[in-house]
Amino acid sequence: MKNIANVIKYSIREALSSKILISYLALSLLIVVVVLIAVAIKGPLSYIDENIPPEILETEKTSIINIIFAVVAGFLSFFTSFLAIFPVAGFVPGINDKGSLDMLLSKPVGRSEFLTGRYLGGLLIVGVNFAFVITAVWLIISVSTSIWNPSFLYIIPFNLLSFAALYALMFPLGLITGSNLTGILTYFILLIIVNPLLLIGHSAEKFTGVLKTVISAFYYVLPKTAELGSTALDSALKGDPFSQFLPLITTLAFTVLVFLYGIFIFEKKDF
Amino acid sequence: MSVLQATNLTKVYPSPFKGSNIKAVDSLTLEVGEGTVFGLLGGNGAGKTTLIKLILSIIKPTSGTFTLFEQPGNRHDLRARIGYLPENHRIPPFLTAKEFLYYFGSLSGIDPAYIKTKIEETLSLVGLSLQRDKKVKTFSKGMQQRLCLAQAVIHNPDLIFLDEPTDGIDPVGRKEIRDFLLELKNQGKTIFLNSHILSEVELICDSVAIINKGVLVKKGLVSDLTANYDEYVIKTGNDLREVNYSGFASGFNVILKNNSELVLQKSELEELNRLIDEMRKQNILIKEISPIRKTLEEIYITTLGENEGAKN
Repeated sequence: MKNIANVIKYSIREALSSKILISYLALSLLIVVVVLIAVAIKGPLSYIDENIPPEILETEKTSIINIIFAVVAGFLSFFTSFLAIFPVAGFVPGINDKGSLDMLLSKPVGRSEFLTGRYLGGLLIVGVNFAFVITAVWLIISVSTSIWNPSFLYIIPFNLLSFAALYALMFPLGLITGSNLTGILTYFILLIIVNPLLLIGHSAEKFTGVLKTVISAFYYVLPKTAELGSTALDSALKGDPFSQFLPLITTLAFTVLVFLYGIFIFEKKDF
Repeated sequence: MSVLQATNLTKVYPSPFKGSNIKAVDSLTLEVGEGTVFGLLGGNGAGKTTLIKLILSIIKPTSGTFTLFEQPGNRHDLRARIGYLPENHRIPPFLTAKEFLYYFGSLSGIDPAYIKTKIEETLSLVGLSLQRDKKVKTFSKGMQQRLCLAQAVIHNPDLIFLDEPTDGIDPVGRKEIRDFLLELKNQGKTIFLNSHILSEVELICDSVAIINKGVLVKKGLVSDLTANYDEYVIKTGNDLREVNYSGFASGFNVILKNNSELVLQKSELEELNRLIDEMRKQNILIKEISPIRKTLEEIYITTLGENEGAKN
């Protein structure tokens, strides 16, 4: 554990020196500031008061504000996940640390400990940022509307799990190709294109036969980032984050298996 | 005690083309004793760095075994007793000298309670105390080399691998590094030195091995390898021109040098003894007899030449 903690500290120090992380944190801060300004200029309540008929507002006020929470949650989920990969993509060993990797590998640190430290260091940076942005936005909306929806905060673990799964995939990809470009492209293709399409394809009834089987196979094998995202939105709307366990379990299993495969490759690789 | 023992260590890099696999290290067997300075000599691409990387488990052997401190060499906990200065190192430029030693010292297993003291001690040892808070990216090549040397020794290792430690360093810097290595030697550390600067190896190392294309072609003590046991110099206390020099020396293959020295060439020990008897008969005062030493460079070039000749 001590070795993993040392590698995490080293990874965080490395990330802090990079302009990419500073830009990422600055963008996250900007979101919080924009939300804060929007609320300060014209709070969500005054918007609702002006645009929603009083008879509807009377009974549906909480639901309407929860919809606002869900819209913001959707935006935050996508935006933070989209950017998260950039500051930590270089943590895959052998990509950014050519020349220092020999020194690191000569230390009494197991390769699995080293890789785990790099991975957890990346997750920690991204997780802290998720937690900061989402909690800050939640606090701003909650304080301004006096309606507290703690389920909104479920976006943090759900988002982090989606990120953890796709980030885990970057390790074997980076180790095999020696470049983080393949990993970054795969991350975006899965996040933005493949996983949402698989979610639609899996539930659509018009696909049958072999095509349906292929779509289902990919759907079950790949991490369900789209489904986790929609579960996070559901949670923001209804406050029930555990309506579906399958996306959680299969995404977790994918993360663990892919990361273990990364360790297997790293253990065998010559540098 | 044997600090390092490699037996038939082989590393083959597969090639996509049939039959063109590259044997970087070929059935190499060697032993390094405790407290010695061992030099591994060879040209570029001879397999020196590959051998160190094999021993440090940075790359995996294709076959063969090795032990470190008489334990199976692939145990990663043993690396707490090892320091390593790689040839083409890159110190993370965003770190200060102190931070670099902190992170690498922590990874070497130094107790956090002592690490700050160790950093100060080691920085002082390599002459970088004043630069402790400066970013590594502002350092000259020599300073980076010394800092890297500091990370190799900060945890007080028993065995230190140095891959071309003076490469690209100016003569003054080289001398400083050499003095530092001699200091480590005096502390009883075992040093494994890869270098192609043979004069330096000769000054520091107790024993050497020469590898060519991954094959070990010669090994032994520097003193044994450089001694030329068929040529001797006999220093006398007489001016040999004044004695009957040509008389007693006529049966021997000798050259007069500096008027008081005789160089006996290409002769057996028996012949040397006969010459000494003749000289003593002439009442010549013998002050010193020593084999003529060759330089390590001569040995190296001869060995490689013989090796290439044998292959052809």
